[in-house]
Amino acid sequence: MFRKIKKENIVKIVEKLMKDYDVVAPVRNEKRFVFEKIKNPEKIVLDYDSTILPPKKFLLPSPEIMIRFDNDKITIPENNKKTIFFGIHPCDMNAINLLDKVEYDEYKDDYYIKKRENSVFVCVDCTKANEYCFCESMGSDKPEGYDVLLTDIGDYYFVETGSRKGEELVENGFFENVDKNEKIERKKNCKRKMNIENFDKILKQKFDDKIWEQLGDKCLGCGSCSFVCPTCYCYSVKDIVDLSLKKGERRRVWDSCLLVDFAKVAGGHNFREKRSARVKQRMYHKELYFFEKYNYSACVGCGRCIRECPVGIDVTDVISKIRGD
Amino acid sequence: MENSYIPNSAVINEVRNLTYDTKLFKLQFKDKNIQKNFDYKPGQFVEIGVFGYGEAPISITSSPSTKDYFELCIKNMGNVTNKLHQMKKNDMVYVRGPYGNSFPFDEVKNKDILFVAGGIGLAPLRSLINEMLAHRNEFGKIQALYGARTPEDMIFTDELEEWSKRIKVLTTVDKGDFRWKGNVGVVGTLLTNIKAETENAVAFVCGPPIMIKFVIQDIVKLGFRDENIITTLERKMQCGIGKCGHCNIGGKYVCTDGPVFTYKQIKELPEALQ
Repeated sequence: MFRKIKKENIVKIVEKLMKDYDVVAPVRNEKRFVFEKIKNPEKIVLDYDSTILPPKKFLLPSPEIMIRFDNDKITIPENNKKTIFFGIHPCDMNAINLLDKVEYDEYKDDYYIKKRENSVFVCVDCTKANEYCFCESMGSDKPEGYDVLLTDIGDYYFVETGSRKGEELVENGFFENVDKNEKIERKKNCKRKMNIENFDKILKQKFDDKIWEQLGDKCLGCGSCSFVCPTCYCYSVKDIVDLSLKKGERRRVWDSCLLVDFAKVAGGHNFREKRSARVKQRMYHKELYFFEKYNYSACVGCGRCIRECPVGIDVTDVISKIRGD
Repeated sequence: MENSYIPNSAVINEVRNLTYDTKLFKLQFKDKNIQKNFDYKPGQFVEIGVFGYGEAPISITSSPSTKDYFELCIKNMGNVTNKLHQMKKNDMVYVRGPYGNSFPFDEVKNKDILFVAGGIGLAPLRSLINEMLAHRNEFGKIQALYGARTPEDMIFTDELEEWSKRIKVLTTVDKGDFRWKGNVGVVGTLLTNIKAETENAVAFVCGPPIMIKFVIQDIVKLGFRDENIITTLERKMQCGIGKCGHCNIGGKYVCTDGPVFTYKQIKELPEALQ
């Protein structure tokens, strides 16, 4: 048995879901798109290209309060609100699958996991790759790990489920049962292409390559690429106190290995003082260290870093140069 | 599910000045059960914090045989340690851990042991030295070399004295003063004053990054095999549990895969010694 949903029913189903869930979905923000907690379902745009920030802004929010303290009393903020991510692309879903590997590793990240497990992911297959996207080169155009997957088939979305959570979500009158698989396989639509094959092995030979100095000269060390990256998970912790100095919060905020003091220890020694070393770290972490540990590249090819880099550093171009293509 | 980021409160039982900038804190978890179950191994560290100031990763300097308390040797280096230095007996701090791997112990039984420590690098080794001395007959010849910048920078001088009754201990300072009658020179120079069997022997090296780099080269020249040279790496750490990303080098997180590494491992780790 298969299901589909009429496009005009999307607003209605979201309205219904909003009773039990926070619904996060892409909406227009001037010329771009952003994920937003939906108040008006009419604003949802499912045929968007890419959002400015990835869904991590909800799963790993910045800042995130870890602990509230008041003299010797500690409380942990509770948020058991269920969230539906409605309309996230396969690249971003695959990024969440990668974040899971880190946050569910040996030690668990309680804050992430609570939110993750209170979330339902309704993916929509992507029809509008923009000029920066290269998910197909990274193999992350294939939707995986979703609860529900919507595929545009004209007046309808074809509906597939990937979990029990997903099954429960589509058990209602808005979804029509159909006898045959009406899914139209999406055509590949990324204009940008890159060869990532064996890149981990290539990187191993390139640690002392002159390209890192060249990139270091160009890079501003602003960290934009990390902040918009759907898989960059590094953070920094800060205690914020009120005027009594007794009461306050321990917060974490996004950090980036591109920022100058990322590896600087108390006392002043900086293990990655040179920008070239920091640019290199980001590439090695994504394409070698993460790959060695989890057997996946930590890049899903969403293209956000290329779009946001103020000096035009293009990761596909850098990788091609390193390969010597 | 237990939240890994929530620390337990611990009381400062005693603070002792070791030098002008380094203090020894004797701590005890407020909850007796937590203290009783606080099992750690030499080489491991904790995150010690003061709310409003943050947390700092500090290696445990007491040896696991002390059951009622644990000790941290803390140099005044940054925000958190500066605040800790203002704290007194009966003040409360917050501790998470123990974290990280540990020095090999059972694996090095019956071997000769060489310790080389520089500055506050003696703190993590002190845990292991005392643990080995508690099981003295299970190890071969033990020698300890310790170097500090000046005589005023030397920590655990009373214990160095105690140890020297049971094992060979040599000390040196980079720069002496009018009272100092001992060796002068970086700690590596002491290696020429000892006889070290290198075949069935293990060397433990702890200290500032630059010292580790040079001492390891000297020890390699003595004939120690790479896998028998053991050190600890220092990095910025915030979470201690492989999440915040600051201590990542090569495919490792120093907090969870280290801080203890063999020289053999370090040679494969880019950026490890710099």
